[in-house]
Amino acid sequence: MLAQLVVSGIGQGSIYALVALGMTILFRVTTVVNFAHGELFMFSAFVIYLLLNAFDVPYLLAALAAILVLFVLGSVVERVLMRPIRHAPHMALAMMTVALSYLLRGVVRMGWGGDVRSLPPMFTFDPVMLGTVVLAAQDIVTIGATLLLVAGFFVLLQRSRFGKLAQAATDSPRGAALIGLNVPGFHRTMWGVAAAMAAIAGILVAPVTLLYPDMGAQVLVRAFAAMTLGGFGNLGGAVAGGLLMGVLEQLAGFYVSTAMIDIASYIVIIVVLLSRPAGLFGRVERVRV
Amino acid sequence: MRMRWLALGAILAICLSGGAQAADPGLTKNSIKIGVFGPLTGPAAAFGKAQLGIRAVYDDLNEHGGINGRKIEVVLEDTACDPAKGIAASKKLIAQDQVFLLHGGSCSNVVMALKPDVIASGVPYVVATAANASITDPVAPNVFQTVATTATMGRTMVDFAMTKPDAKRIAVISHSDEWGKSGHDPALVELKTKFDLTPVADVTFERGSINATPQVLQIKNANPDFVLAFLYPAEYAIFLREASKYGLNVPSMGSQAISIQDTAQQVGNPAIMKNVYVFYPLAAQIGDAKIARWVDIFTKYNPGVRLESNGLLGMGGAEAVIEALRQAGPDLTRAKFLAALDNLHNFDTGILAAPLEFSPTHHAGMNGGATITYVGDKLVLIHKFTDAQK
Amino acid sequence: MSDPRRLLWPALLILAALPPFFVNDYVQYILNSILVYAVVAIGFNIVLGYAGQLAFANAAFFGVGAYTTAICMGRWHWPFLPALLSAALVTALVGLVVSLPALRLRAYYLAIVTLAFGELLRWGYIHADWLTLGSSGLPVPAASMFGISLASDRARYWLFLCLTALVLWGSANLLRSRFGRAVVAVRENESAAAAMGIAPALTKIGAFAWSGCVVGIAGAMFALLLGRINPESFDLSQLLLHFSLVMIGGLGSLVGSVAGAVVLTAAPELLRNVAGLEEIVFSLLLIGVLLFMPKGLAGLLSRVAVLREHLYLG
Repeated sequence: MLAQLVVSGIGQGSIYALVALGMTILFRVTTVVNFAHGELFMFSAFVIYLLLNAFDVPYLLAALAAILVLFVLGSVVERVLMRPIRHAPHMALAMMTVALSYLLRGVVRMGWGGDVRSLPPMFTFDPVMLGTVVLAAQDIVTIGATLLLVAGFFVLLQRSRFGKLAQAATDSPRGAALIGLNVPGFHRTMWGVAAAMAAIAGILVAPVTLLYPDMGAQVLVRAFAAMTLGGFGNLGGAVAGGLLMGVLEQLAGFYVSTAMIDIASYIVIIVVLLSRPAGLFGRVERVRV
Repeated sequence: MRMRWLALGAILAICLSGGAQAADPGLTKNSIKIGVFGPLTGPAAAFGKAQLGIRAVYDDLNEHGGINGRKIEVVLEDTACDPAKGIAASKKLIAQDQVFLLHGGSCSNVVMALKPDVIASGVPYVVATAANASITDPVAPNVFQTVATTATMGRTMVDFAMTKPDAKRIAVISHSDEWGKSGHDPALVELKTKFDLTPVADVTFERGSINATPQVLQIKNANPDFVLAFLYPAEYAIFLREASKYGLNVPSMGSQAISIQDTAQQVGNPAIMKNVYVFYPLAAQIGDAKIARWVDIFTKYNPGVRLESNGLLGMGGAEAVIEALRQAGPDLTRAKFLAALDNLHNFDTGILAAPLEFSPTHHAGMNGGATITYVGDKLVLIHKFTDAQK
Repeated sequence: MSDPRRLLWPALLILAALPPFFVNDYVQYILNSILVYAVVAIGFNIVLGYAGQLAFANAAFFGVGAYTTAICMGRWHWPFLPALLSAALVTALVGLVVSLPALRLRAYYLAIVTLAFGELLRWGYIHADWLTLGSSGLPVPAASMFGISLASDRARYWLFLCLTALVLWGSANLLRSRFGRAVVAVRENESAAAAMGIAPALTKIGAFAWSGCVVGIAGAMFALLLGRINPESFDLSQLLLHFSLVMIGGLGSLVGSVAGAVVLTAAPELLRNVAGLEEIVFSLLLIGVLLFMPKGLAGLLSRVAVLREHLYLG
C-alpha cells in the first residue's frame, strides 16, 4: 500500500511540479507571481479541444499548435497588460494576473458553458506493473517530461550565455539595458515561454483531469505549495516540492483522512513560511518591495 | 360645476377599474408572469440547463394557445449558485417584476437562503431542481419541490444497492459540501435503520480534485460489495477511472446529477461502464419515444445547447405548474393556484420516473426514481439490481 | 463664523437615510449590500492601502465575523448587539494573530501565507460542523435591537447606515491621529519611522487588529443581510471581490472604498440580463482600472477640488 501511494504520489506530484516549474521560471526572471498560470493551463486544454473537435486536427498537431498559441498569448499578455504597469507596486501586478485569470475563465465559460468535456488520452498503452504497484502510462510520461524540462531549463539558466543574460536582466534591468540588452523584449519572451510550459502541462494532464473552466484553480494552489516548499525561485526546488506535495497528499489522505487532502497544501504553506520561509532549497530572494 | 362632476366621474372610474384589477400581481387579462431563476452562469451552470428546459415548456404552451386564455410571460434571472445573488434575484422578481409565481432554484444553499423571504411574501414558489429535503421540511404553504430530494435519492440508492444478492459491505464516497452531505447523511440513516448496517468505508473526495488514489485504495481495502457515490460528474468519472486502474471492480451507483452518457464518454471504457448504475429521475432514456416530446421541446427552444438529463429534469415541474393553473381556472388567484397544487394527486408529468403527489402537509412531490445502466451498449431502466442481465 | 462645509457630512447622512421611504425591497436589498461591502472595503483598505501590507486574509476576517455572529445568534440565541460586539472583538483578535507573520514576511510570502490561512479557516467551517453546521449552512434568526425589530430590509438599512457612518467616522479619526500617522510612516519607510521613535511592530499589529475589527463588523452585517451563512461564501472569489473593491475604489482612500462598493455592487445587478458576460466585464473593469486609473475612483474624484481634502487621509 505504501509503495503504491508513493508511486501514485510521484505521478500526481509531477503534475504539480510541471505547473510549479512554469511559474518559477517566470518568477525567477520577472519577479512576478502569475496567479493566472492555472487558467493558462486550462485555456491550452480548451484550445486543443477546439482544434480536435471543431477542425478535426490530428492530436500531435493540435498539441503543437496549442503550445504556439499559448506562447503568443503569453507574449501578448506581457506587452499589453504587464509592461504598462511594470513599475507599479507588487499588489497591482498580482491583481493584474488575477484579473487575467478571471478573464480567461469567463471567455472559456462563454464558449463552452459549464459542461465537463473530455480529451482522449494521448497514450493508450497499458499500465506498468512494478510488483503489485500500478504505474499508469500517463504518469510515466508526465514524470519524464518534467525531469526533461527541469534539466533543460537548468542548463539554459545556469550554464548558457542566455542564462547569464537572464540573470543580468533580472538583477539589474537598468544595467542590462545599458549594455544593449532588450529587457522588455526579454520579459516578453519569457512570458511566452512560461505560457508555453503551461500548455505542455495542459497537454499532458488534461486527458486525466477532464476539462471545465474551473479546472485550473486546484492545480494552482498545489503549485504554490510546491514552490513554497522548494523555495521560491529555485527550479529544482519547485520540482522537488511538487513531487513531495504529491506524495504528502496521498499519504495524508490514506493514513490520516481523505479530508486532509484538501488542506495539505495550506498546512505546508503555513508551516514552511512561518518556520523557514526560504523553503527546503531556496535562498532568500531580494524581492522588489 | 361640470368639471367637478367630470372629475368625480373620472375618480370613480379609476377606482372601479382599479378594483377590477386588484387581483394578484403578475396577472393580466391575457398573461401570467412567471419568475424563473437558476445558476445560468458560474460553476454550476451545467445545472442551469434545467431552467432552459422549464422555459421551453412554457414557450411550447404559449405556442399552443396558452392556458385558460392566458400566455405565460417568463422572466429569467441568474443566481450563479451564490446565495447573495440568488436573494437579489428573488427579491427583484417579487418586488420589482411582480411575478405571479416563482419557478426556479437548482442550488439548494441558494434556495435555503432565499426561502424565508419567499415564504413571508406568500408568492407561490415551485422549486425547479434543488433537491435538499430541508426545503420542504418543515412544510411551508407556498413552497413545493418537484424532483426527488437528495434524502429520497440517498435512500433509493441504498435500497437499490441492497437488492444486489448477498450485499452486505457498502462503501460510500461523497463530496463534503452541502450537496454531498445531503445525499450522504440520509443514505447512512437508511442503511442503519432498514438494514442495520454501517458503511465499511466512508471517504470524502473534494470537488475539483484530480486524483482519487487514497480514496480508491481505502475503499478497496474494505472489500465492498457496492460503492455509493455522491459525487458530481467530473469527479465521478475520475473515481471510476482510478477504481479500474487499481482493480476495484465492484458495482457503483451515481446520483441524480450524473448523466450516464456523459460519464461513458469521459471514462472511455465500456468495460468500466458495465458496473455503473445511476439514479435516474426521468421516465425513459433520452432517445426513447416515451419522452421524445420533451426532448423535442428542449431542442426546439434551445438550439445549440447540448441536451442531457439535467436539461429535462425541471420540465416535470413545469407540467405540474401548468396542470395546477388549468385546475385553478380562468378566474385565477394565487390562493386558487396553491390549492390546486395541494390537491395534485398521482399526477403523471410524462417526463418524470414517478408521478407527483402533493398534499397540504407534504410538499416534496416526487417519492421515487429509477436506475439506469448499460446492458451491452444500450441504456436500460431498472428498479432492482437483478433486473439487468449482464 | 462656523464653516458651512462642516454641515456636509451630517447633510449627506440625512440624505442617505431617505431611500427606504421610496424604494422596493429589491433595491433596498441592493443598498444594504452596498453598505456591507463599503465597510469591508474600508477594513481592507486599512491593511492594504494605509499599512501597505499585502495581506490576503480579508475573506478570512469576513468569515470569522459572519460566523461569530451566526453562532452567537443562531446557536446560542444571543441578541444582536452582543453578537456584533463579539464579532468585532473576535475578528480583531484574529487580525492580531495574522499580524504576527506579517512582522517577518514580506510581500508575496505574506500574501501566500494569509491566503492559505483563509482557505484553512474555510475548511474549518466545513468540517467543524459541531459548531458551524458545516456545509448545510448556519441560519441567522430574526434580530432585534433595543426592542426594534430588524427583520425588514428597511430596518436593517438604517442600522447598516449607522454602522457604516460609525466605521467611517472612527477610521477617519484614527487615521488623523498619531497612531494613523504612525501607520503611514511605517509604510513609507520603516527604518526612518523607527528612528523617529515609532515602534513598527506594534503599529503593524495595531493596524491589523483595527482592520479585523472593522471587517468583523462587516461580517456581522453580512450575516444579517443574508440570513444564512455558508462556508462557500468566504472563498477566493470573495477575496477577489474585496480586492477589486479596494483597487477600483482607490487604494488608501476611505471615500474611494465606499465608491468602489457602490460600483461593484450595483454594476452586476444592472448587468443581470447580460448573462455570462459578468466575469468578463468584471475582469476587464479591473484590468482597465489597473492600467488607466491606478488611483481608482478616488483618483477620479480628486479632480474635483472641493472633495480632495476628504479623499486621502494618509
